[in-house]
Amino acid sequence: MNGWLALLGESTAIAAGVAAGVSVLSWHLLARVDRDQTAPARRADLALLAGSLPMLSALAVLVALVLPSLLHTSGIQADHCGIHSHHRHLCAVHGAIPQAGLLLVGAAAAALWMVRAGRLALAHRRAHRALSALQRLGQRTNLGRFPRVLVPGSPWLSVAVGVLRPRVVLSASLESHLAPEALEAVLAHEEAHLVRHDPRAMSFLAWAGLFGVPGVSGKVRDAFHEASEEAADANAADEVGPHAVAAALVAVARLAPGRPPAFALGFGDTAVQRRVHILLQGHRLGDRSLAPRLLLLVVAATALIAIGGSEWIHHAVESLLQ
Amino acid sequence: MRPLGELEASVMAVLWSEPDLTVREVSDRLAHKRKRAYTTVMTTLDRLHSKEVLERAKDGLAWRYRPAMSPEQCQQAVANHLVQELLQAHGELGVAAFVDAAGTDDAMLDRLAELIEERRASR
Repeated sequence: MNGWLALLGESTAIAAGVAAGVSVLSWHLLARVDRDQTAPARRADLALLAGSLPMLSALAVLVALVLPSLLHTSGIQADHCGIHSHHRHLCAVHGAIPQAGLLLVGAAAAALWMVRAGRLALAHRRAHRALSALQRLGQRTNLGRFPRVLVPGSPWLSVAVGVLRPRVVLSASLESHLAPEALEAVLAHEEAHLVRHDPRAMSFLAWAGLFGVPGVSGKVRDAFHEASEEAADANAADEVGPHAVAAALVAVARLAPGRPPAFALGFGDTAVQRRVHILLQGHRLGDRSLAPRLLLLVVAATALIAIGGSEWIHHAVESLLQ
Repeated sequence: MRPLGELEASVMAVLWSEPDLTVREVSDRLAHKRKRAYTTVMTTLDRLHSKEVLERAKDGLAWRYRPAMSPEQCQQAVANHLVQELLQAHGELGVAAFVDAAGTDDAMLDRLAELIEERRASR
């Protein structure tokens, strides 16, 4: 049992180190993508990829390091400890001596991960309860492509939600505050999010971000959020026209509560300005999201590398630790 | 405002149908549904008062409570609170709001609206 704990501790430390490196590297590459020249849908795909790579690399390394001992214990395949007696071992079977420093880093990384996962789970639960309570106050309709829930309250809410049951939640009074054309644009935008699976992707990124460097994971999520909003704008503009979407953005921004007074504004474009300018600069057709297929491909490739290349990765890490 | 609990909702229902009641009177009105301790009802009324859902005025030694908002206003306040909670979880529950109005002001929105109209007209 101690052998397994030691192996898991060391492997966790190595996986955490790899994930941190991949996290910084993928953000560095993502930040080099030209925001103005690359289609929003492609930027969102790239952000999703960048956000998932730390998690996938961490899991791949963890599997690759633990698999030989696991296979040996279950009698499927003998590990390779016998062929490199001169070498440092990452092994739960043959009584390898663990490195105290690695164990410490592994324990700290696991503890940090659990704290972050716990906080995320709590936030998830709170938001889920708020959404359920809001829906109980509201009224559900099946008028659009996805169910719509009309809720009471201030007339500015319009969100696409739902990982398992996608739906649009919007203020019932929005109808009386927006022109029909603007309301149609808002609904087209939210439905575009659901067609693109954006709520699922954002939820996935939040969990995958637990494996990355904290501040960096947040930046990747922000990049995905910005790109997915612009992609949904482009898809909505295909349906109702770019001017209608731009006008709806301005109209809903006016309804949003708690906007700061003019003197509190910072420099640079706000999200609304940027989105309106993109829509007015010449509308290009919205692209489809490749994210689900891309993710499937990356997960399959990672699993293949982790399992198929397990022995090679295992041996390479042992050599590096030597 | 947070959603009302079961007892809070029952107390509010009583006071919406019959305002200006004392703790004892509210307690009596609730008794036919389910017996509640006087002190429980008193605490609930006090909590609703501190949440500014109820107003109260002294009547001799007792307080008389009346709703500070209509059922519709109360529902709106609860909905607004829930919306804020939901949007705070932005990115975690997979919530994609239509627009992030942070950093905008009326003058900027006016300029954008004018720009959109100009482009529309020149199309």
